[in-house]
Amino acid sequence: MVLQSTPIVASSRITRWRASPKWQMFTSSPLAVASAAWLIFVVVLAFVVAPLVVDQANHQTIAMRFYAPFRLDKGFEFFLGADSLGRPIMLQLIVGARTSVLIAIFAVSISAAIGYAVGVVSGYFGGWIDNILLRLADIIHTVPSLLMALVVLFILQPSIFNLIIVLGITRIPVYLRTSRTQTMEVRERMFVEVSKAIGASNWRIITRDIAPLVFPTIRTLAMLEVSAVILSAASLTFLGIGLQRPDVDWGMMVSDGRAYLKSAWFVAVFPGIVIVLTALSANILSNWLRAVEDPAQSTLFFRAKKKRGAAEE
Amino acid sequence: MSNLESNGSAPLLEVQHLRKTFGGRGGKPGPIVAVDDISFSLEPGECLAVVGESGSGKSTLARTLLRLVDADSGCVLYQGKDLLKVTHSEMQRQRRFLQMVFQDPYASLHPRRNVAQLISEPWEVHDGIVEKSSRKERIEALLAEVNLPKHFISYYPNQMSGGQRQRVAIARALALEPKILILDEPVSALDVSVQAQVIKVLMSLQERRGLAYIFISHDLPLVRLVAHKVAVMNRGQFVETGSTEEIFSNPRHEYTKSLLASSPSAGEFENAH
Amino acid sequence: MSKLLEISGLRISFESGFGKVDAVRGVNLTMDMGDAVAVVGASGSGKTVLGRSLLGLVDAPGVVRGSIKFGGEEIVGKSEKELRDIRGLGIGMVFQDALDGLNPVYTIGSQLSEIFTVRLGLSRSAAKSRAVSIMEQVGIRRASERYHDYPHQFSGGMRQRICIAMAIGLKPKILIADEPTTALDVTVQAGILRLIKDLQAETGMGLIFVTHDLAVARTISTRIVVMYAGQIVEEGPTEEVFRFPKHPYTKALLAAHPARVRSWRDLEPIPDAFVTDPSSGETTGHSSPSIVITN
Repeated sequence: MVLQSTPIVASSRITRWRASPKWQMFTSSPLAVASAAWLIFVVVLAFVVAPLVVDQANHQTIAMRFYAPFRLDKGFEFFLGADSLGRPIMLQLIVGARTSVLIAIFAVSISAAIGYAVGVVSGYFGGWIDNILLRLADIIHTVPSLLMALVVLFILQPSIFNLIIVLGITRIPVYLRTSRTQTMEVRERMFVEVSKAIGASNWRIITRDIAPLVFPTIRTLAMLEVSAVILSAASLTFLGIGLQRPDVDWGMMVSDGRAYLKSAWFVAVFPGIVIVLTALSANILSNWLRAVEDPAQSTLFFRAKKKRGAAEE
Repeated sequence: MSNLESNGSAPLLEVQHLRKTFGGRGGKPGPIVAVDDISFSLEPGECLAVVGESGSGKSTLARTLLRLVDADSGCVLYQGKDLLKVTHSEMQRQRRFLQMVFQDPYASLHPRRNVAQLISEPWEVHDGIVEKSSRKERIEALLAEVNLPKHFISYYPNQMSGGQRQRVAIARALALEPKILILDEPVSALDVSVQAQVIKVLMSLQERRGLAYIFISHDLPLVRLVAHKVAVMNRGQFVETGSTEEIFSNPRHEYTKSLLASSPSAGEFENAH
Repeated sequence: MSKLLEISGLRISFESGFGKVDAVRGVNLTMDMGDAVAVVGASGSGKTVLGRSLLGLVDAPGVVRGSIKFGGEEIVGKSEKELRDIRGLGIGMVFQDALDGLNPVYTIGSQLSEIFTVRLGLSRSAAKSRAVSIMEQVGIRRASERYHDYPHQFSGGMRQRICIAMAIGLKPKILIADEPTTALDVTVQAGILRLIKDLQAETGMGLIFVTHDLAVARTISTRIVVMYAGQIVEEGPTEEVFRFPKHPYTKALLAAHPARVRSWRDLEPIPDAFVTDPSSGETTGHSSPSIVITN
């Protein structure tokens, strides 16, 4: 069934709906609100609170070793307990958030931007350039990204910057393949030919007709990748080639706490929970965005609102 | 075929021995002949119907004229200038004079653009045709020309019916003030009941603006209403050409006869009157 | 004796979290063997859903109310298993897009003969000869050679013929054809229409032909039913409806048909009040004085 609204009757409502449709849809979805709230909370902690507590977070008090959580008698900072060197876990989490978020944002942006741009151009023109790029992507893709990261980080110095570069490059093929496939599909759609018929250049067709239609998929993918990248970074740190102290991220905290799981479960479990929550929030938000961006689904939503409104009148 | 060629002064559009094949490699002609030695001419205010069935090559012919696909040989003379020989950028400029309306209004409009963006897009591609300040006014005037109310300016394709979408597509084709409109099955994706409004819009436009139409269709009753002359196309060739009256009252080629006989309505409706 | 098909008070609505859409609102229709009924309407008029409901093919969230009696047997409310006995053997259906009806990975022959082995319990060789003969019946030349071909090796018209063969293979009492020629060329369309007409004359089955084109309806039917916004607004013998249309909507449809006028100037576009919103089956205009929608 083709969805179409009733233009003559609905005109006034459409203008109103246009004003802030996504915000309305957003506020009516509690799960999306909660996910966004969590992500904002993490970002604020990472970039506003973290710089203030770095010293305190790294301060080692052997007396506080494996201090159990959920007690306030040693101060609020020890509410989530202390690790093997007596550092407050809560503050470690906050400082670790900064590293994890930085790595996630930059690595994802690098791979998404390059993969998206190259994928769209290569998918639109096809031919030998497309072939070469595709084979290159295949090569990157077939070498396990963890193995590649291992080798590169072993040669280079393990640092946040190198970690971002390595994670960024290894994830490019994911975006490249997706945007290329979708571009090849959109390229054949009639309105592209229509644009050619009015005399539009290839550049204009790519940037105005095709790229905007591919973008929502890339964005969804990027948000899913946020969790993937945080987890990859965590596993690299876990293997000991990611970050080095005093830098800390959530993955490192999990790996540190692993040895004491039986005696002091909280050292590994709290950062684990935070990783899961963040990854989950990114996933929920990306799914929600995709639903909103889908014209059919948002039209349905709009129609439902309209019908409900009409019934109330 | 002489009756489709010009007499005297140069016509608006003159197509000579146009040929297009598929399946060739490296610019050589291929084994599949889509357009085979087609010649015709077109005057301002004239409507030439190209009639044929799927696979006859009629859509390829349209795309070849606009250089959406490259022809193998022949010429397409627009006001004496061969469009097949001009440079790529010159062709981009010339395209404003030859515009096309496509068959499926559900597919030919970009789903994320509203009517205002759709209609003004050609002005962004071709600089200096309509100034930014007067665009809204022009869009409203174009909408009026295709019988759509002003408030459609903010509509998106999925808020419109097929007939309305096709009229928006027509308004956009008109935005560049073309001299020739190529109509590729402009109503065949629509219900019969809404075809009439689109046809009326198209024909009154032609009358008002003196546009030349190349009307590609398989629908003979419709062609009878709109065309001045008809070319019947089969397997890449014009098998019969002539004035609309000639073709309908006195078809000579077997293929034309079978087309006329197959049309479910043509004979029977006339008996009813 | 009970009628071949008796539809009374049929209502079909689609309900979801987003609201309720009535596609068919109170349709009554009867037909006997040998009847050829054309159901004519614009997209969104409910004609397609009506056709599908006879086979129990209205999927959730669609809700069917009222009664459809096939040879005295109630179809509405039947389980999927009971419906399967009626589909094919009792009522056959041909769809608009012939490609949808055929599985691209099996040969035409195996798809056709499977019907006979599964539904009639014929042996493989008997099923094959039956399939070949029915291919010949629907006008496929060199049927025994083409038996081994795949769907993509056939043209659109030939594929539609094969779909018709599958629909009539089990000798149904009713054939429902939902715009079977809309996607086809005129010459091919003429052939398919002739085929359906001939098959009907041979077998005496009832035919329900769904179309948006009055001209096609006229060639194929003896009786016309005009649907508008989920209701039947006019019904009568085909020639009578064409000569003396009673309902304003029928008149408007005829006045808008290109084959009914001499010049484009005489075309009368359907008034806006009659243009239906395909997604809801409601009219766009608030006031359509000539149409009274009773709920």
